[in-house]
Amino acid sequence: MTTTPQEDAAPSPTPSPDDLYAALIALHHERSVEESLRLNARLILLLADAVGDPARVLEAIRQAGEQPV
Amino acid sequence: MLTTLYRPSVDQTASPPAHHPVVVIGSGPVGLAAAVDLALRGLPVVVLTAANGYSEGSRALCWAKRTLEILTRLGVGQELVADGVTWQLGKVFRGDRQVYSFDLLPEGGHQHPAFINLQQYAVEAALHRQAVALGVDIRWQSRVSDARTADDGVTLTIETPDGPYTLHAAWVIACDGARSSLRRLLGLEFQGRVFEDRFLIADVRMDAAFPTERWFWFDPPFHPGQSALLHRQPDNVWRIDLQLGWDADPEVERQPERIKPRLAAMLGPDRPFELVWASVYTFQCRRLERFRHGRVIFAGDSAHQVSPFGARGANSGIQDTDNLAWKLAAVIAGAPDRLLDSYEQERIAAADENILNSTRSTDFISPKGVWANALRNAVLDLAADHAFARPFVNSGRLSLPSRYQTSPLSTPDEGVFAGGPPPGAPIPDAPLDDGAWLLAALGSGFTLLAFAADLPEVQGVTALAVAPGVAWARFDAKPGTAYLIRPDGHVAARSRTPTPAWVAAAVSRAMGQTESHHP
Ligand SMILES: Cc1cc2nc3c(=O)[nH]c(=O)nc-3n(C[C@H](O)[C@H](O)[C@H](O)COP(=O)(O)OP(=O)(O)OC[C@H]3O[C@@H](n4cnc5c(N)ncnc54)[C@H](O)[C@@H]3O)c2cc1C
Repeated sequence: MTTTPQEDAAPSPTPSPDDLYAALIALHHERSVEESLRLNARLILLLADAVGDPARVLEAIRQAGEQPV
Repeated sequence: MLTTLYRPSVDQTASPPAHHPVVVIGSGPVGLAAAVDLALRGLPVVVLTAANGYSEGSRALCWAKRTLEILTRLGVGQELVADGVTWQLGKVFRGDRQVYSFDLLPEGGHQHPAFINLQQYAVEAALHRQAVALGVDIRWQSRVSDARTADDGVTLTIETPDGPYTLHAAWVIACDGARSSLRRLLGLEFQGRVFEDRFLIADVRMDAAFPTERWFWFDPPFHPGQSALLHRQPDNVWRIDLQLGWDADPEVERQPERIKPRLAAMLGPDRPFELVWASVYTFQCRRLERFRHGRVIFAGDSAHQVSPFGARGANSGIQDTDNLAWKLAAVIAGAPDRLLDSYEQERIAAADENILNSTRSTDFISPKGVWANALRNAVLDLAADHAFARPFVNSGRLSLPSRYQTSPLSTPDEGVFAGGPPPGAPIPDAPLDDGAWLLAALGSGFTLLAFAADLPEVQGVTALAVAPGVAWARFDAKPGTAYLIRPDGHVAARSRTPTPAWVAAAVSRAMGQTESHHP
């Protein structure tokens, strides 16, 4: 397939919150609870790296633990 | 037949009981290091030990750079480095794939390596020879069975093959190990965390060309679902450590018929080996609430225990005595008693650091619960391909000296320092221009390192002019900079504008003569 330079440079559409939600569900499709835990653990580590600032990650951990579960 | 090292002492028939200024209990690496250090400081030392010889089995194997520096000050470091095998690289595998590696001493210009591997009994033997040469009175097969404490000392009862006797000690250093009798006799609690896992430790003799590195496996093909560790020892002996899990039966796992197939699976069918020593262990991380109880001072495993991952046991014990010996000698010579409280403050902080590191390593190696397990495995999943995940891999964070950041003996900086060891930290070694080493050039008391700083002599302080070179960079030195170094090689104070009054005040504070500003 060939593309024109214009098409290459075109911004890909920003994923909507619904897209993200669906992708998170899809990642765990037909996984056992243990597999899901492991996938989520990978995801958290990758996201922590993407955030780049350990202090912000610690703050997010604090917020996650704030509400009763 | 077992020979007995016991020799009767004149104290056994003394009436009233004999008095000694310092008694060390225990002849492990920590007790012997304490005895040598105190003897070098001119004190007559008696060592009482239940043992009849050196430690059985290799036990402590990895001796850290800082410990080697201390052992060199004690006069045995160089021979031990020559006898041991030197290493600095660690590799971590997941299955059969390498996921992480570390270099514990990436820069040159240090007299000692990051680590040597040498059996604990070899270290004890060298310290023992040195203690004897210094006139230390070592009494084997002399088990302390009672201790009565008073303000001016301790009355000890000692069991010997000839029956019991008592003696009086002005000071007692309790280096009687993880099952300390003194701790029990003083009714002290030793609380902490027990880890629910079992490990097989085996020393094997074999011909193998593996490099002299620390190799650690998570889930290796030869021991699925568990961890494994391989270390080289001198004389073609190798240390192998295999995780067995909490359900393993220690009695069964201790049998050679059980051990050998496990090792054969690891080493391959074509490698003959001889099993030299093996043991199955569990471990705990715990410490005494206080290390000093009047005239009884605890050091080594009697005061704190860690898991073996990180080689922090014997190393931290010898660092205890490095901290204690000069202080006790100074207090006996008339320095304020509270100098000894700083032993406790500094070494409890060190013990907590060691316990924290060792606990975290153990939580990674032996994760408890489904989430801890998932997170650990996710780190290993990512580590092979993602550089950011590698530093999370924790197969043991190897022993580093504590930096005594809140020490009451430290004087705040005078002037601005962007690098170099801050007050409380141990100083780095560096080559000097005459081929000598900086650490070896320190005096036995306080040393003033002068970097083109012209200072008149201060009584009781050895002055050492440091010529431009590697040391200048390591100390962030500028012309005029000075560092005051404690007898244990830690920084007491540093200044860009040193004066004799500054030196005197810093020495006084480091000797416990100034009220502390710390809580
Ligand atoms: C398998 C294993 C591997 C290890 N690997 C390492 C390592 O690689 N690096 C590291 O730094 N550490 C390691 N350690 C830890 C290390 O062995 C200990 O931290 C170290 O031996 C502590 O020294 P110690 O002198 O305090 O006590 P010990 O060596 O236990 O000595 C205690 C002494 O007290 C004496 N004693 C006991 N009770 C009495 C009494 N009532 N009266 C008189 N004497 C008494 C004993 O006879 C003995 O001489 C390892 C430990 C084990 C078990």
